[in-house]
Amino acid sequence: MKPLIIGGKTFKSRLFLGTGKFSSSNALNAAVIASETEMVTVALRRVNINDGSDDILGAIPKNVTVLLNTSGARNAADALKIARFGRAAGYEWIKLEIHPDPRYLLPDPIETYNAAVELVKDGFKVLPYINADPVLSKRLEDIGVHAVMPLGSPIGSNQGIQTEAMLRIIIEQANVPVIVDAGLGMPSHAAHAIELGADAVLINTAIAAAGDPAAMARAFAAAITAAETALDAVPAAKLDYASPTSPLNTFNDII
Amino acid sequence: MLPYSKYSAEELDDYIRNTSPESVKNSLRSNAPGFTDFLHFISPAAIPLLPELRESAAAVKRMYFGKTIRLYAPLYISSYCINNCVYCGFRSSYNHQRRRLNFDEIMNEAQIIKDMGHDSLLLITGEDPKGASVPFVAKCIRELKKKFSYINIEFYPMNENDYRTLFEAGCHGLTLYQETYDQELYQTLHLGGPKQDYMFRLNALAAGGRAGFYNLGMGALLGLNPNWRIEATNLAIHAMWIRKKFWRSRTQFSFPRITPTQGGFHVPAPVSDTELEQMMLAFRLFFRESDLFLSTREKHEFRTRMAEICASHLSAGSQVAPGGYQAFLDGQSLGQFTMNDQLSVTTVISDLKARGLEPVFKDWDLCFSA
Repeated sequence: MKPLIIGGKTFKSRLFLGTGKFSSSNALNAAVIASETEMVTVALRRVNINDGSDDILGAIPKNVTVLLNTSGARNAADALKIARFGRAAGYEWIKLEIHPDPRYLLPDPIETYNAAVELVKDGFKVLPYINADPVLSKRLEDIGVHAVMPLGSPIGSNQGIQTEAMLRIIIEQANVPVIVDAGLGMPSHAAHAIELGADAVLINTAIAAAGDPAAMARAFAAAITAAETALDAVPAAKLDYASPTSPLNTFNDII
Repeated sequence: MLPYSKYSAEELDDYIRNTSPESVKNSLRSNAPGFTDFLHFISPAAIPLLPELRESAAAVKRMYFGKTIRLYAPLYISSYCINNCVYCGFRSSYNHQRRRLNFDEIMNEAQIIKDMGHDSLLLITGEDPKGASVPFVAKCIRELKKKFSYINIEFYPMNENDYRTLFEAGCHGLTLYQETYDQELYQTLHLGGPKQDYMFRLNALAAGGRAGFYNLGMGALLGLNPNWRIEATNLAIHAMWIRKKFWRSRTQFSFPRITPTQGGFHVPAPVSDTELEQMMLAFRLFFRESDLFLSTREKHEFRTRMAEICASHLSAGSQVAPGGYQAFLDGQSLGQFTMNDQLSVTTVISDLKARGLEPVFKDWDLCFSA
């Protein structure tokens, strides 16, 4: 697979972690280390951002990028405020999530787009959480977001990839990294996303709420590595989606 | 019965009583339980299946809340009240020592709560137009926002404009119990004051929804209605209606069991631990993402057990009277109701941690304020 570069930074691991729902900061720390992730997302609403002794921020190793998320924002104005708070405390990476719907936490495409325009203009690294909408994905790419984060299924639902038909189109058309976020409940779901051609996945509930989060983090990392290795090994089976270089389909990645 | 319901209380009660164990088992297998499943979960037929309900509810809780539990504390503003509710320690006909806090006293209480480690505040008052007027409370909220990330109010019902004033001052949660959804019973319990107006109270939560409140909390006072299952059913129907009308607001439930008060009220229909647990499990299974609250009215052991299985929010270190925190520091005890969990925040935290639950104090931010 081609290297994963987001906002100019190269990531060796295609596994990103959410930091909510862990039983303790020790459990979070152990899972982050076991996963070998290089980026985790943290909700501003859960942390004391200017407090060096904050439990969650303190549990994240220094070499791991913190992707500040705007969870709780119900409109673009809220999200912009969070991003600016974050910047004041030294955070530049923003997972833009705006979900006015507290039941399924589905992202609002209009507010997300409007906020992304402003954040990109302000020079943030912007990774918007979106429904698996190929047109929205392209529109966001056009204004300069650094990756798109379409959902596999509703947040926390552990239903795996239910949006496959649309994800395939997003992946086929994207010129920015595609990170499948939300709903991935088992390592096989994450492997599935990578096999579909996603550049990375973001996992929270499935790891945080597992009996042994660190072991589950290792399992996800292993599944993702397995899927990457498989794609590089040129699958024998004919894949009906955007496939990596294969002797029989040499011209597929002509551009 | 509620105006939103297509079925009468008798029809629903009949259905609940005649639910078979097989129906409960089928409902337990559903990945997306509906209202009929909810009725099965609260039915007498579900009692022998409580271990299975517990297991399913715990899985739902893990899915939506992970291994966390949110903590908050109440702050009482005034125990003056113009209502006469037979079950309440603040009732107007009961001649006890009343108190309303002034601005500085409220800030003093708030600081004591903050020093315990709390970041989420529940403001409570009796219906006291003099001591807890909307402009005064709005002024307090604006100041309290500097200390607390999240403020919730449990006040007398208001109109939309008053709610908007409080929302814009920075209060994002609104809690209002209907007490009982049985209108006839309601009239016999509320003997004086504006609270006698059942419909105004019932509709006030919607006024709060229109005013923009992010969280809408509801509940019934358990122990008043001899049929708690119908009370729970009505609460669920009310919540479904609210959820449908206000898709941007989160629904929250409290399960206050009435406790003896200084007024000497005799609880007419006590709800047992098992019954309360069954009700909470049913709410967790049906309202999967909603917040479930348990106050210090309940015993510590029960609260920690529910925190593992279904509750998402616990109060801790609470004092339940105006000035109660300062009084406690001074070695006195005051209260609206009898508390069964009087442990300190530190003890509550260590017990939750021992059960593998992370106590969460901050889950909101002042940057969400207007």
